[in-house]
Amino acid sequence: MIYHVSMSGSDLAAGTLEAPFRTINRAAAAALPGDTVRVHAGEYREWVDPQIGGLSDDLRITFEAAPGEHAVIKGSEVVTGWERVEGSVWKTTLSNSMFGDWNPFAQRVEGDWMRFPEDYEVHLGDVYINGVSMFEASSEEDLYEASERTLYMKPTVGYNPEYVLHPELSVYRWRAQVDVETTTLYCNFHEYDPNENLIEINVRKCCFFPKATGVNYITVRGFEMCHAACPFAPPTAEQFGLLGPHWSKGWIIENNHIHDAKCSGISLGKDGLGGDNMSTRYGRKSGHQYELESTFLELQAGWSKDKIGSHIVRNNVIHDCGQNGIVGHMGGVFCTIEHNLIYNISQKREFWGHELAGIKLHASIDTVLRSNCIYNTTLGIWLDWQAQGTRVTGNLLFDNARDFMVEVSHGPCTVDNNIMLSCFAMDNHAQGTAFVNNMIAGAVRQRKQVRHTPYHVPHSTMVAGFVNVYGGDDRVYNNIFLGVDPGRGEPPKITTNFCQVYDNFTTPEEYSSKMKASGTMCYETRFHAVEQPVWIEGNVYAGYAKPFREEKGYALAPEMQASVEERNGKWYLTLTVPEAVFEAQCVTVTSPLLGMPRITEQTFVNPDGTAINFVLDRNGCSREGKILPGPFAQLKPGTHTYLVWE
Amino acid sequence: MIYHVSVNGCDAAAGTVEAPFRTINHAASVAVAGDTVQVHSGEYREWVDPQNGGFSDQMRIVYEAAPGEHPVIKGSEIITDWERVEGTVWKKVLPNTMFGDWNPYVQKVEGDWIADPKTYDVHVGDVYINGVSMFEASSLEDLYETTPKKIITQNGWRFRDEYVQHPELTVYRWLGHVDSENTTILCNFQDEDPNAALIEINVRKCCFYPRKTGLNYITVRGFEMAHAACPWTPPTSDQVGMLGPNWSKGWIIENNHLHDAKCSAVSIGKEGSTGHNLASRFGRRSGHRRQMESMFQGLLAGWCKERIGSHLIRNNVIHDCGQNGIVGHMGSAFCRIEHNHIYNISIKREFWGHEQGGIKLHAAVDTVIEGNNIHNCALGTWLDWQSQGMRITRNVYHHNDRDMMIEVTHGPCTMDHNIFLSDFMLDNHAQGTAYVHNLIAGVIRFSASLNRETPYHFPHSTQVAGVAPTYLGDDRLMNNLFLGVQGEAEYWGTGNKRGFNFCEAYDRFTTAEEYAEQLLATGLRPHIQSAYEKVAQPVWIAGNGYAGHAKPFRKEEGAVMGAGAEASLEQVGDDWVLTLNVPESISNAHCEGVTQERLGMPRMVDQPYENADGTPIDFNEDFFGDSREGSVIPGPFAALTPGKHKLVVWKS
Repeated sequence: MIYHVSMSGSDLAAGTLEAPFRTINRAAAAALPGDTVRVHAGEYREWVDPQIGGLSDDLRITFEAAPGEHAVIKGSEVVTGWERVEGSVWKTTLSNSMFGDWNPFAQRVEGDWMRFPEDYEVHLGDVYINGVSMFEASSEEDLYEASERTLYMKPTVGYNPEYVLHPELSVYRWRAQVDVETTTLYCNFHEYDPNENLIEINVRKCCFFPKATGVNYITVRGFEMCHAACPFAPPTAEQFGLLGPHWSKGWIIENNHIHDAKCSGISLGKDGLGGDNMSTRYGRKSGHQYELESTFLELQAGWSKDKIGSHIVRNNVIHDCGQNGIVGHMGGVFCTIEHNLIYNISQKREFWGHELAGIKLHASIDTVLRSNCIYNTTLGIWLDWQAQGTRVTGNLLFDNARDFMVEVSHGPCTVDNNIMLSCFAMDNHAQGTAFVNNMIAGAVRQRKQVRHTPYHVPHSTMVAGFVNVYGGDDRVYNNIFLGVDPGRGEPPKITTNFCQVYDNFTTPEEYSSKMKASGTMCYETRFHAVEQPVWIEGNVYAGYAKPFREEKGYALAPEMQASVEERNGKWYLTLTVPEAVFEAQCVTVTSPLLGMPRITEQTFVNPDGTAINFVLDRNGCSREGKILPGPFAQLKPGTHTYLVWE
Repeated sequence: MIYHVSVNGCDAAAGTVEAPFRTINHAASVAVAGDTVQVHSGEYREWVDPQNGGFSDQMRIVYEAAPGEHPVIKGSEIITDWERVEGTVWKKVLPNTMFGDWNPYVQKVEGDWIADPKTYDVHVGDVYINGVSMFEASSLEDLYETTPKKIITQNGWRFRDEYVQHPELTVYRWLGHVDSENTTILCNFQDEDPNAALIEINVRKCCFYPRKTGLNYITVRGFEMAHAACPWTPPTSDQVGMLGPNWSKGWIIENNHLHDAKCSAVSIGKEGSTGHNLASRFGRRSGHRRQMESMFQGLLAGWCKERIGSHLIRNNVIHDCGQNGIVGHMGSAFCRIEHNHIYNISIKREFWGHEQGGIKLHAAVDTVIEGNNIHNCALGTWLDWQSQGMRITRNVYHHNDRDMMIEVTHGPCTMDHNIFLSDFMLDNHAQGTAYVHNLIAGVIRFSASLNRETPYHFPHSTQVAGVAPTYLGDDRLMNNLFLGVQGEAEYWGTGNKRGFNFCEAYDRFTTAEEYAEQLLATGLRPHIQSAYEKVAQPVWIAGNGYAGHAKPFRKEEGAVMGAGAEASLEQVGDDWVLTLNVPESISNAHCEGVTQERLGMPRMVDQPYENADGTPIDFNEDFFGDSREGSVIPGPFAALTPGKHKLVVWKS
């Protein structure tokens, strides 16, 4: 059955092509497994709340834009009837009934790991002039203030100062006053007359997100969605997004254009049964403690391959969101996140907490992140906790404050054939990661962590143990490290580069002999006294990058350079390859060669347990003959341009 | 059906009282749920390996001594015809076939957490002259050496030097030598003629222990068992004891006399598939890490109230074992350990590892230890990991090197109405314990474990709810009577790790109000983990009585100064008599009664201090079960008049 929805339809109609419904929700109430809901061009200002899910991958419920048509779902409403207060500041008073039980101008951006601002509140509301997001004023004075914000929220864990992407837009400010009956909005529109321009405000929490959990096998295809007042989504909260499956299994989210989510564009994350900001609300235990408790609560509530995860998120364009492009704790297991374009994430700097990134996943067991293009984010990809069996392959990251972070995780996590061009490449606060055939420009920061996190029975959500991060246990083969100046003109905090950052760790031989000399076998202290081993071979070093002290087969290629630029929706890499690159003695990497991390004793394999084919390069071309460093099977000496994303 | 076993019987017989079986194992092969096996007087030198279990508490298989009779199960065999080597040293050559697949003279005392000796091997074999255990020589020279040894190995946890209990016996030494065919035992019998004395040697690993797991609801009653060559039983191993249920449910072990187990007399511990000394054998990860993993493996293997634990161990006499009287990781959950007499545990000091104590339990969720008499042990009781929902009540501890240790656990654990009379009362490496109405003579020592996280559970369940480090604190100490027998000069250790007297030992912690203020003052939001490492957890301390060197907590309310309070214990026939001097201040004290509401919940585990079935603990019942009427005074007893009292606190 195919149901049709049109701006000119009626919810009393039959939902046919000739007599379409008016709302997507009406179709969602009617659709059964196997049915398709086809939405025709127009703006649908509703929170689509699917009532039932499909039964299997073959018996889905599909929501899609009608072919060739442009269907938009907005969390905002148009607001008119503005009156001038003074100068360029205007106001309008709205009835609170407009917002139902979720008034975004009363709801704060708050919860666990939320940090700044500390001296005033920020809210989930937003105001858009002709579709462009304005900024919330910090005070009445600030509303009238006409100077631009540049460096607004200072992150505490960052590297270089992080700036507002478009400071010129920061002078357009709004401020809300909510009382019992009404919400009054004050806006400084500057040169714009709000009664002559399109003014929209955030009204709804979500655009497409079931209120119930366990609504499985839904496809969402081809929509534009925007303007959701979705809340901050730390791993210890019920993680709402503008769009998401809400603790379900088997969704396909593809070909959508998602933007202007107050916090997260797509959430694959956990529901509230595993705790909802308990640390902030009760303060008895830390967020870390509540997060590890949530693992067990959700295991009791059925967190398993059978019930949760296995989503496909592909070919979406996601941009201009406050917290994340894609977020998810536990619900992001066994997923494929492929060929999405993600940019301008948390670039307004209106608030800062941990948990800001292009893609932020906790417990991304057996999830594959492939061929995504991510730029202009505070952090491109952040794999936090239990990145076990996770693979990050063929992605393109550039112009991010940091490209990649892997945290309190014990492996195996495979990072291969990526291009990371930002000047701060990586925060490595984990162990047991394999870096193979990447091209990495920036600096790296290595940290140990006393915080203990779970590891799992291979390819399962069942917990096998807990451990801290000793650091090391990484494999680094056949990468190109460009060693770009990490300073970006600012005094750099981070000067550590690949692979000298591993110099404090041991070779397998050193590890084995030091352990033999380290006393009683079963004492935990012994494993803290000796640094874990690393396996490093066949990498190429340019710029500030230097080989690991015991590395074999490396090559120095100081003149090597790379840059990326966009032309008509295609991204091109310009690469200068000196002859020295070809002197690297690269390793034929296989799953058996990589062994297994000390803690998890799971091999570096695909989610189905088969060996990873490292012969294939980022374009799927076979590495034949001599294996070259970096993500390409073939390289030409000299300066050439390669198409790397479209 | 009742089957009979007699040393005059025959396994081809019918098993009736007139035609009994010869071996307990034969009865064990035919007994099914509902049956009883009655064993008549005599020595049974066999490893009883039950083949079947019962179905429920009512449909058990019962193994018992015939009424009024004295059956003994021994892991040893008698060895005769010794030939003299030289002087007082004799030898005997035995074929290895005698030992089957477990030769105690090859098998070492080894595995995770064993630490000493480091320079020579010790084995699970042993030799007994007229029933008295000899000592293994460290070398051939040592065999001939005739100086008694006061110290052989030293406890790494010791409070002060720990000595061999009977150094005069250390001159009786043996040494085993095993080749491909034979085992040769060399013994220095001193002035004894082995061919005139009874010489027995360890041969079997166990006396009564199923080789299969999951044999539930078996009762073992009224036996003497001795001389098992049972292995070292750390929590990360297949914990095999002289007697035990091997990862089953609902055993009753009562009225037995158990002694001379090389390591542990009763094991209610875990089995081997969830990990067996992996840290020592493979070395990839620490024992701590392996133990955490074994617990998750245990959950996958069905560790739950429905399948494992719920044993009743009562009225046994257990003594002279090398490692533990009672040991158990995980299988010890939901048990009652009641009115046992446990003494002389690991005081031969032939080897030392962590894991030695009269009772050593890991993850004994909801288990009750009540009314036991524990003395002359290297450590009376050691509650390690996940002592959640445990209650330790009305026990008498005395003459132990240390009475109690509680380690890397987060509460709630309740210790009430106990008598702790040794100089060192408590190694406190835990948080969330409530100490209520105890009589405590000795000192306390603390040690935090920020890098060894351990699990906690959903209340009254084995299901894991989280893991946490041990910050220390979060304890409750109410209405105890501290005798303060140890002066400053006698403390062992240095800094914060030295022994302290109650309750000034807790001065480093906070009150509930201080805790809230100091957390705020860190400026860190409540989700930040490091905030909780910066501020000492709160303690609730009130209404305790203090004598001797003991001093109140700096913020204690209702402390009673009880100078002159003194106690001593002596055995008079079957009675253990406490002589207690009660000063007037104690006698006239008016302490606030302790209730579940006053105790609250530990910070890490959202579970009240309550009974295993979720009902409140009645703290109004005193040591003898009498109701406290009128005013409440510190210590385990309801109202006592001033002056000297003689109280029978334990009866055999």
